[in-house]
Amino acid sequence: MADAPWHSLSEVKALGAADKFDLGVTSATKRILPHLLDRTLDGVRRFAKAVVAQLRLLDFAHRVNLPRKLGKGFVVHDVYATRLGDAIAKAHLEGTYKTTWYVKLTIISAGGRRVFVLSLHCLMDPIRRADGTTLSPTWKESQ
Amino acid sequence: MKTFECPACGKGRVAPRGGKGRSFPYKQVPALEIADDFEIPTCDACGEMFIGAILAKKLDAHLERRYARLLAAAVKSAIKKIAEHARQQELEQLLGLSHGYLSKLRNGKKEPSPALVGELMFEAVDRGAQTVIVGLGGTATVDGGTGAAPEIAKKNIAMPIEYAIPKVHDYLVSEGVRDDVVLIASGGLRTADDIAKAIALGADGCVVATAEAVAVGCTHCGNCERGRGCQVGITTTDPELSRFIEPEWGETRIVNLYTAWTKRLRSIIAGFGLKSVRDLRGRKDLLVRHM
Repeated sequence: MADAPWHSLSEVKALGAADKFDLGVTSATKRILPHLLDRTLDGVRRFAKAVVAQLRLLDFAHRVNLPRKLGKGFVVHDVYATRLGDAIAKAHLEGTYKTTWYVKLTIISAGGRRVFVLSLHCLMDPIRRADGTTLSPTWKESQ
Repeated sequence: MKTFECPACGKGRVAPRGGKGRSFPYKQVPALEIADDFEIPTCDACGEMFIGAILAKKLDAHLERRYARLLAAAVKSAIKKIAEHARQQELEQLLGLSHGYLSKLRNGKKEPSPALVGELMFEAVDRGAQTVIVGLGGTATVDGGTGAAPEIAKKNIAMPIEYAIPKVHDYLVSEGVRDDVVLIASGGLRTADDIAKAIALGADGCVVATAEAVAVGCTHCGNCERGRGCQVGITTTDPELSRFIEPEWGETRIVNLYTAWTKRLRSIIAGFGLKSVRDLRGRKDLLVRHM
Protein backbone atom coordinates (compact mmCIF):
# COMPACT_ATOMS: atom_id res chain seq x y z
CA MET A 1 0.00 0.00 0.00
CA ALA A 2 1.45 3.35 -1.06
CA ASP A 3 2.09 5.70 1.82
CA ALA A 4 1.86 8.95 -0.12
CA PRO A 5 -0.76 10.39 -2.44
CA TRP A 6 -0.16 10.03 -6.19
CA HIS A 7 -1.44 13.51 -6.88
CA SER A 8 0.29 16.36 -5.10
CA LEU A 9 -1.97 17.54 -2.27
CA SER A 10 -0.83 21.12 -2.72
CA GLU A 11 -1.89 21.00 -6.39
CA VAL A 12 -5.23 19.45 -5.40
CA LYS A 13 -5.78 22.27 -2.91
CA ALA A 14 -4.72 24.95 -5.39
CA LEU A 15 -7.08 23.62 -8.07
CA GLY A 16 -9.85 23.33 -5.51
CA ALA A 17 -9.33 26.90 -4.33
CA ALA A 18 -9.42 28.07 -7.97
CA ASP A 19 -12.77 26.30 -8.46
CA LYS A 20 -11.19 23.98 -11.01
CA PHE A 21 -12.88 20.86 -9.74
CA ASP A 22 -15.76 18.64 -10.77
CA LEU A 23 -17.94 16.50 -8.54
CA GLY A 24 -19.09 12.99 -9.35
CA VAL A 25 -22.87 12.88 -9.06
CA THR A 26 -23.37 9.42 -7.56
CA SER A 27 -21.04 9.49 -4.56
CA ALA A 28 -20.03 13.10 -4.25
CA THR A 29 -23.26 15.00 -4.82
CA LYS A 30 -26.43 13.00 -4.20
CA ARG A 31 -25.09 11.51 -0.99
CA ILE A 32 -24.08 14.86 0.46
CA LEU A 33 -27.12 16.96 -0.42
CA PRO A 34 -29.49 15.63 2.27
CA HIS A 35 -26.96 16.50 4.99
CA LEU A 36 -26.29 20.09 3.99
CA LEU A 37 -27.82 23.26 5.34
CA ASP A 38 -27.79 24.67 1.80
CA ARG A 39 -29.26 21.82 -0.22
CA THR A 40 -28.27 23.10 -3.63
CA LEU A 41 -25.47 22.14 -6.00
CA ASP A 42 -23.76 25.39 -5.17
CA GLY A 43 -23.97 24.35 -1.51
CA VAL A 44 -22.39 20.98 -2.35
CA ARG A 45 -19.54 22.69 -4.21
CA ARG A 46 -18.86 25.09 -1.37
CA PHE A 47 -18.79 22.18 1.09
CA ALA A 48 -16.51 20.09 -1.17
CA LYS A 49 -14.20 23.08 -1.58
CA ALA A 50 -14.02 23.53 2.19
CA VAL A 51 -13.28 19.82 2.72
CA VAL A 52 -10.55 19.74 0.06
CA ALA A 53 -9.01 22.90 1.51
CA GLN A 54 -8.65 21.30 4.94
CA LEU A 55 -7.18 17.96 3.78
CA ARG A 56 -3.79 17.11 5.27
CA LEU A 57 -1.19 14.55 4.27
CA LEU A 58 -2.01 12.81 7.57
CA ASP A 59 -5.51 12.13 6.20
CA PHE A 60 -4.21 10.14 3.23
CA ALA A 61 -5.29 6.48 3.39
CA HIS A 62 -4.42 4.70 0.15
CA ARG A 63 -4.45 4.77 -3.63
CA VAL A 64 -6.80 2.97 -6.00
CA ASN A 65 -5.35 2.07 -9.41
CA LEU A 66 -7.85 1.48 -12.22
CA PRO A 67 -6.47 0.02 -15.44
CA ARG A 68 -7.20 2.29 -18.41
CA LYS A 69 -9.18 0.79 -21.24
CA LEU A 70 -8.62 3.57 -23.76
CA GLY A 71 -4.99 4.38 -22.97
CA LYS A 72 -2.02 2.78 -21.25
CA GLY A 73 -1.41 2.61 -17.51
CA PHE A 74 -3.82 3.43 -14.73
CA VAL A 75 -6.19 6.08 -13.51
CA VAL A 76 -4.99 6.67 -9.96
CA HIS A 77 -7.40 7.74 -7.23
CA ASP A 78 -6.17 9.07 -3.90
CA VAL A 79 -8.33 8.19 -0.91
CA TYR A 80 -8.41 10.37 2.19
CA ALA A 81 -10.22 9.84 5.48
CA THR A 82 -10.65 13.12 7.25
CA ARG A 83 -12.17 14.57 10.37
CA LEU A 84 -13.81 17.92 9.75
CA GLY A 85 -13.24 20.88 11.99
CA ASP A 86 -16.17 22.31 13.95
CA ALA A 87 -16.24 25.44 11.82
CA ILE A 88 -16.86 23.53 8.56
CA ALA A 89 -19.44 21.24 10.14
CA LYS A 90 -21.28 24.21 11.64
CA ALA A 91 -21.19 26.25 8.45
CA HIS A 92 -22.34 23.53 6.07
CA LEU A 93 -23.97 20.55 7.79
CA GLU A 94 -27.22 19.65 9.45
CA GLY A 95 -25.77 18.19 12.65
CA THR A 96 -22.31 19.15 13.80
CA TYR A 97 -21.51 15.54 14.75
CA LYS A 98 -21.13 14.57 11.09
CA THR A 99 -17.38 14.90 11.22
CA THR A 100 -15.79 11.84 9.63
CA TRP A 101 -15.67 11.86 5.83
CA TYR A 102 -14.32 9.71 3.02
CA VAL A 103 -12.81 11.58 0.07
CA LYS A 104 -11.67 10.01 -3.18
CA LEU A 105 -10.20 12.23 -5.86
CA THR A 106 -8.02 12.33 -8.91
CA ILE A 107 -6.56 14.90 -11.28
CA ILE A 108 -6.88 14.71 -15.05
CA SER A 109 -5.27 16.92 -17.64
CA ALA A 110 -7.83 17.08 -20.44
CA GLY A 111 -8.33 20.77 -21.33
CA GLY A 112 -6.24 22.01 -18.41
CA ARG A 113 -5.67 20.25 -15.12
CA ARG A 114 -8.76 19.68 -12.99
CA VAL A 115 -9.52 17.82 -9.78
CA PHE A 116 -12.32 15.28 -9.91
CA VAL A 117 -13.84 14.58 -6.51
CA LEU A 118 -15.32 11.16 -7.16
CA SER A 119 -16.48 10.28 -3.64
CA LEU A 120 -17.35 12.52 -0.74
CA HIS A 121 -19.54 10.88 1.86
CA CYS A 122 -19.61 9.74 5.46
CA LEU A 123 -17.00 7.25 6.52
CA MET A 124 -18.71 3.86 6.37
CA ASP A 125 -16.12 1.71 8.18
CA PRO A 126 -12.96 2.33 10.19
CA ILE A 127 -10.18 3.16 7.75
CA ARG A 128 -6.46 2.80 8.30
CA ARG A 129 -4.52 5.81 7.13
CA ALA A 130 -1.04 5.69 5.65
CA ASP A 131 0.54 7.04 8.83
CA GLY A 132 -0.78 4.05 10.77
CA THR A 133 -3.65 5.79 12.56
CA THR A 134 -7.21 4.56 12.17
CA LEU A 135 -10.20 6.83 11.73
CA SER A 136 -13.57 5.41 12.79
CA PRO A 137 -17.00 6.58 11.63
CA THR A 138 -18.87 8.88 13.99
CA TRP A 139 -22.14 8.81 12.05
CA LYS A 140 -24.06 6.96 9.35
CA GLU A 141 -26.00 8.41 6.45
CA SER A 142 -29.27 7.02 7.78
CA GLN A 143 -29.03 9.41 10.76
CA MET B 1 -12.97 20.07 -22.80
CA LYS B 2 -15.75 18.51 -24.84
CA THR B 3 -14.95 14.86 -24.14
CA PHE B 4 -12.43 13.22 -21.86
CA GLU B 5 -11.55 9.86 -20.38
CA CYS B 6 -13.79 8.94 -17.45
CA PRO B 7 -11.86 9.60 -14.23
CA ALA B 8 -14.19 7.31 -12.30
CA CYS B 9 -13.88 4.07 -14.28
CA GLY B 10 -11.10 4.66 -16.83
CA LYS B 11 -13.11 2.68 -19.36
CA GLY B 12 -15.39 5.14 -21.12
CA ARG B 13 -15.46 8.66 -22.45
CA VAL B 14 -17.29 11.51 -20.79
CA ALA B 15 -19.32 13.80 -23.03
CA PRO B 16 -22.33 16.11 -22.50
CA ARG B 17 -25.46 13.99 -22.71
CA GLY B 18 -29.16 14.29 -22.01
CA GLY B 19 -31.27 11.42 -20.73
CA LYS B 20 -34.52 10.30 -19.19
CA GLY B 21 -35.36 9.83 -15.52
CA ARG B 22 -32.44 11.78 -14.05
CA SER B 23 -33.15 13.39 -10.72
CA PHE B 24 -31.41 15.23 -7.89
CA PRO B 25 -32.29 15.79 -4.25
CA TYR B 26 -33.02 19.51 -3.98
CA LYS B 27 -33.85 21.44 -0.81
CA GLN B 28 -36.58 19.39 0.87
CA VAL B 29 -37.43 17.32 -2.21
CA PRO B 30 -35.74 13.90 -2.24
CA ALA B 31 -35.79 13.52 -6.03
CA LEU B 32 -36.49 16.40 -8.38
CA GLU B 33 -36.45 15.31 -11.99
CA ILE B 34 -34.51 17.33 -14.54
CA ALA B 35 -35.44 17.87 -18.17
CA ASP B 36 -34.47 15.10 -20.60
CA ASP B 37 -32.62 17.54 -22.86
CA PHE B 38 -30.53 19.07 -20.06
CA GLU B 39 -26.98 18.04 -20.94
CA ILE B 40 -24.61 16.84 -18.21
CA PRO B 41 -21.16 15.37 -18.88
CA THR B 42 -21.78 11.62 -18.57
CA CYS B 43 -19.54 8.57 -19.03
CA ASP B 44 -20.72 6.21 -21.77
CA ALA B 45 -19.35 3.20 -19.87
CA CYS B 46 -20.23 3.64 -16.19
CA GLY B 47 -22.91 6.33 -16.51
CA GLU B 48 -21.30 8.59 -13.90
CA MET B 49 -22.09 12.29 -14.33
CA PHE B 50 -19.76 15.16 -13.43
CA ILE B 51 -20.63 18.67 -12.35
CA GLY B 52 -18.27 21.61 -12.65
CA ALA B 53 -18.68 25.18 -11.39
CA ILE B 54 -20.57 26.62 -14.37
CA LEU B 55 -22.81 23.60 -14.80
CA ALA B 56 -23.65 23.62 -11.06
CA LYS B 57 -25.01 27.18 -11.35
CA LYS B 58 -26.98 26.30 -14.50
CA LEU B 59 -28.39 23.14 -12.93
CA ASP B 60 -29.26 24.97 -9.70
CA ALA B 61 -31.27 27.51 -11.68
CA HIS B 62 -33.01 24.70 -13.57
CA LEU B 63 -33.84 22.82 -10.36
CA GLU B 64 -34.99 26.03 -8.65
CA ARG B 65 -37.55 26.64 -11.41
CA ARG B 66 -38.83 23.06 -11.10
CA TYR B 67 -38.87 23.30 -7.29
CA ALA B 68 -40.86 26.55 -7.39
CA ARG B 69 -43.40 24.95 -9.74
CA LEU B 70 -43.77 21.90 -7.48
CA LEU B 71 -44.11 23.98 -4.34
CA ALA B 72 -46.56 26.36 -5.98
CA ALA B 73 -48.74 23.42 -7.03
CA ALA B 74 -48.73 22.04 -3.45
CA VAL B 75 -49.61 25.44 -1.94
CA LYS B 76 -52.26 26.05 -4.61
CA SER B 77 -53.93 22.76 -3.77
CA ALA B 78 -53.79 23.47 0.00
CA ILE B 79 -55.27 26.96 -0.45
CA LYS B 80 -57.96 25.54 -2.73
CA LYS B 81 -58.96 23.12 0.02
CA ILE B 82 -59.06 25.84 2.69
CA ALA B 83 -60.94 28.16 0.32
CA GLU B 84 -63.96 25.89 0.58
CA HIS B 85 -64.33 27.14 4.14
CA ALA B 86 -62.89 30.67 4.06
CA ARG B 87 -62.11 33.28 1.42
CA GLN B 88 -58.47 34.03 0.77
CA GLN B 89 -58.79 37.62 1.94
CA GLU B 90 -60.39 36.48 5.21
CA LEU B 91 -57.62 33.95 5.70
CA GLU B 92 -54.96 36.59 5.23
CA GLN B 93 -56.70 38.86 7.72
CA LEU B 94 -57.05 35.98 10.16
CA LEU B 95 -53.37 35.13 9.88
CA GLY B 96 -52.32 38.78 9.99
CA LEU B 97 -50.66 38.50 6.59
CA SER B 98 -50.38 41.33 4.13
CA HIS B 99 -52.92 41.48 1.32
CA GLY B 100 -51.91 39.12 -1.50
CA TYR B 101 -49.39 37.14 0.59
CA LEU B 102 -51.15 33.85 -0.06
CA SER B 103 -51.25 34.63 -3.77
CA LYS B 104 -47.49 35.03 -3.71
CA LEU B 105 -47.18 31.64 -2.02
CA ARG B 106 -49.52 30.14 -4.58
CA ASN B 107 -47.59 31.58 -7.49
CA GLY B 108 -44.28 30.35 -6.14
CA LYS B 109 -42.99 33.88 -5.49
CA LYS B 110 -42.72 33.22 -1.79
CA GLU B 111 -41.80 30.05 0.04
CA PRO B 112 -43.63 28.85 3.16
CA SER B 113 -40.90 28.77 5.77
CA PRO B 114 -40.08 28.74 9.49
CA ALA B 115 -39.84 32.53 9.14
CA LEU B 116 -43.56 32.65 8.29
CA VAL B 117 -44.27 30.67 11.46
CA GLY B 118 -42.11 33.14 13.39
CA GLU B 119 -43.99 36.08 11.86
CA LEU B 120 -47.30 34.51 12.82
CA MET B 121 -46.08 33.90 16.37
CA PHE B 122 -44.89 37.45 16.93
CA GLU B 123 -48.05 38.79 15.28
CA ALA B 124 -50.10 36.76 17.75
CA VAL B 125 -48.06 38.02 20.72
CA ASP B 126 -48.43 41.63 19.48
CA ARG B 127 -52.17 41.15 19.40
CA GLY B 128 -52.19 40.08 23.03
CA ALA B 129 -51.93 36.31 22.87
CA GLN B 130 -51.02 34.93 26.31
CA THR B 131 -49.60 31.69 25.00
CA VAL B 132 -48.45 30.65 21.56
CA ILE B 133 -48.70 27.00 20.69
CA VAL B 134 -46.78 25.91 17.62
CA GLY B 135 -47.61 22.48 16.28
CA LEU B 136 -44.81 20.93 14.31
CA GLY B 137 -45.81 18.62 11.49
CA GLY B 138 -47.78 15.50 12.17
CA THR B 139 -51.28 14.41 11.34
CA ALA B 140 -52.51 15.84 14.63
CA THR B 141 -51.79 19.32 13.35
CA VAL B 142 -52.31 19.07 9.62
CA ASP B 143 -55.18 16.74 8.82
CA GLY B 144 -57.15 16.24 11.99
CA GLY B 145 -55.39 13.08 13.07
CA THR B 146 -56.30 10.79 10.23
CA GLY B 147 -52.74 9.93 9.24
CA ALA B 148 -53.78 10.80 5.70
CA ALA B 149 -51.70 13.92 5.06
CA PRO B 150 -50.90 14.09 1.36
CA GLU B 151 -47.69 12.22 0.55
CA ILE B 152 -46.28 15.29 -1.20
CA ALA B 153 -46.77 17.38 1.93
CA LYS B 154 -45.22 14.78 4.21
CA LYS B 155 -42.14 14.27 2.09
CA ASN B 156 -41.51 17.63 0.46
CA ILE B 157 -42.62 20.42 2.74
CA ALA B 158 -40.98 21.66 5.93
CA MET B 159 -38.49 19.40 7.70
CA PRO B 160 -38.39 16.31 9.94
CA ILE B 161 -39.26 17.06 13.56
CA GLU B 162 -35.91 15.70 14.73
CA TYR B 163 -34.33 18.72 13.03
CA ALA B 164 -37.17 21.16 13.54
CA ILE B 165 -37.66 20.88 17.30
CA PRO B 166 -34.08 21.72 18.34
CA LYS B 167 -33.95 24.50 15.73
CA VAL B 168 -37.08 26.16 17.14
CA HIS B 169 -36.06 25.50 20.75
CA ASP B 170 -32.57 26.95 20.25
CA TYR B 171 -33.96 29.96 18.40
CA LEU B 172 -36.46 30.70 21.15
CA VAL B 173 -33.73 30.34 23.80
CA SER B 174 -31.44 32.70 21.86
CA GLU B 175 -34.26 35.25 21.59
CA GLY B 176 -34.91 34.97 25.32
CA VAL B 177 -38.57 34.03 24.85
CA ARG B 178 -38.38 30.28 25.46
CA ASP B 179 -40.63 30.33 28.53
CA ASP B 180 -43.20 32.53 26.79
CA VAL B 181 -43.83 29.92 24.13
CA VAL B 182 -45.26 26.44 24.46
CA LEU B 183 -43.74 24.22 21.82
CA ILE B 184 -45.87 21.23 20.99
CA ALA B 185 -44.45 18.57 18.68
CA SER B 186 -46.26 16.03 16.61
CA GLY B 187 -45.53 13.75 13.72
CA GLY B 188 -44.45 10.12 13.86
CA LEU B 189 -44.74 9.89 17.65
CA ARG B 190 -45.77 6.33 18.28
CA THR B 191 -44.36 5.44 21.70
CA ALA B 192 -43.57 7.01 25.05
CA ASP B 193 -39.92 6.84 24.04
CA ASP B 194 -40.67 9.00 20.98
CA ILE B 195 -42.32 11.54 23.26
CA ALA B 196 -39.35 11.53 25.65
CA LYS B 197 -37.03 12.10 22.66
CA ALA B 198 -39.13 14.99 21.34
CA ILE B 199 -39.12 16.64 24.78
CA ALA B 200 -35.38 16.08 25.20
CA LEU B 201 -34.92 17.80 21.82
CA GLY B 202 -36.73 20.85 23.14
CA ALA B 203 -40.50 20.38 22.92
CA ASP B 204 -42.71 21.20 25.91
CA GLY B 205 -45.15 18.50 25.04
CA CYS B 206 -46.55 16.44 22.22
CA VAL B 207 -49.84 15.73 20.57
CA VAL B 208 -50.57 12.38 19.04
CA ALA B 209 -53.36 11.39 16.72
CA THR B 210 -52.48 8.39 14.62
CA ALA B 211 -51.44 6.33 17.66
CA GLU B 212 -54.87 6.89 19.25
CA ALA B 213 -56.64 6.01 16.02
CA VAL B 214 -54.58 2.83 15.71
CA ALA B 215 -55.38 1.97 19.35
CA VAL B 216 -59.08 1.89 18.47
CA GLY B 217 -58.55 -0.21 15.38
CA CYS B 218 -57.47 2.15 12.55
CA THR B 219 -55.88 0.18 9.73
CA HIS B 220 -54.37 3.31 8.18
CA CYS B 221 -56.14 2.69 4.88
CA GLY B 222 -56.36 6.44 4.18
CA ASN B 223 -60.03 6.37 3.20
CA CYS B 224 -61.20 8.66 6.01
CA GLU B 225 -62.82 11.16 3.65
CA ARG B 226 -64.02 8.84 0.92
CA GLY B 227 -67.40 7.22 0.41
CA ARG B 228 -69.14 6.30 3.65
CA GLY B 229 -65.98 7.00 5.60
CA CYS B 230 -63.90 4.81 7.83
CA GLN B 231 -64.39 1.08 7.32
CA VAL B 232 -63.85 0.35 11.01
CA GLY B 233 -66.12 3.15 12.19
CA ILE B 234 -63.65 5.69 13.55
CA THR B 235 -63.99 8.65 11.18
CA THR B 236 -67.49 8.22 9.86
CA THR B 237 -70.92 9.74 10.33
CA ASP B 238 -72.57 6.71 8.83
CA PRO B 239 -74.82 5.24 11.56
CA GLU B 240 -74.18 1.65 10.43
CA LEU B 241 -70.41 1.95 10.28
CA SER B 242 -70.19 3.92 13.52
CA ARG B 243 -71.67 0.92 15.35
CA PHE B 244 -68.37 -0.93 14.79
CA ILE B 245 -66.86 1.01 17.67
CA GLU B 246 -68.28 0.60 21.13
CA PRO B 247 -67.56 3.79 23.10
CA GLU B 248 -66.69 1.88 26.29
CA TRP B 249 -64.33 -0.43 24.43
CA GLY B 250 -62.69 2.55 22.70
CA GLU B 251 -62.35 4.36 26.02
CA THR B 252 -60.62 1.36 27.59
CA ARG B 253 -58.19 1.10 24.69
CA ILE B 254 -57.27 4.79 24.87
CA VAL B 255 -56.90 4.65 28.66
CA ASN B 256 -54.69 1.57 28.31
CA LEU B 257 -52.55 3.37 25.73
CA TYR B 258 -51.98 6.42 27.92
CA THR B 259 -51.52 4.38 31.10
CA ALA B 260 -48.78 2.34 29.43
CA TRP B 261 -47.15 5.49 28.03
CA THR B 262 -47.29 7.25 31.40
CA LYS B 263 -45.58 4.31 33.12
CA ARG B 264 -42.87 4.19 30.45
CA LEU B 265 -42.34 7.95 30.54
CA ARG B 266 -42.04 7.87 34.33
CA SER B 267 -39.49 5.10 34.12
CA ILE B 268 -37.45 7.05 31.53
CA ILE B 269 -37.50 10.19 33.66
CA ALA B 270 -36.60 8.27 36.81
CA GLY B 271 -33.84 6.48 34.89
CA PHE B 272 -32.22 9.82 34.15
CA GLY B 273 -32.58 10.91 37.77
CA LEU B 274 -34.96 13.73 36.84
CA LYS B 275 -37.93 14.90 38.88
CA SER B 276 -40.37 15.84 36.15
CA VAL B 277 -40.96 15.96 32.42
CA ARG B 278 -40.14 19.65 32.53
CA ASP B 279 -36.59 18.82 33.61
CA LEU B 280 -36.20 16.75 30.46
CA ARG B 281 -36.94 19.67 28.11
CA GLY B 282 -34.01 20.50 25.86
CA ARG B 283 -31.70 17.88 27.41
CA LYS B 284 -30.18 16.84 24.08
CA ASP B 285 -27.14 15.65 26.02
CA LEU B 286 -29.21 12.71 27.27
CA LEU B 287 -29.85 11.42 23.76
CA VAL B 288 -27.46 8.78 22.51
CA ARG B 289 -26.84 8.17 18.84
CA HIS B 290 -26.78 4.52 17.86
CA MET B 291 -24.53 3.73 14.95
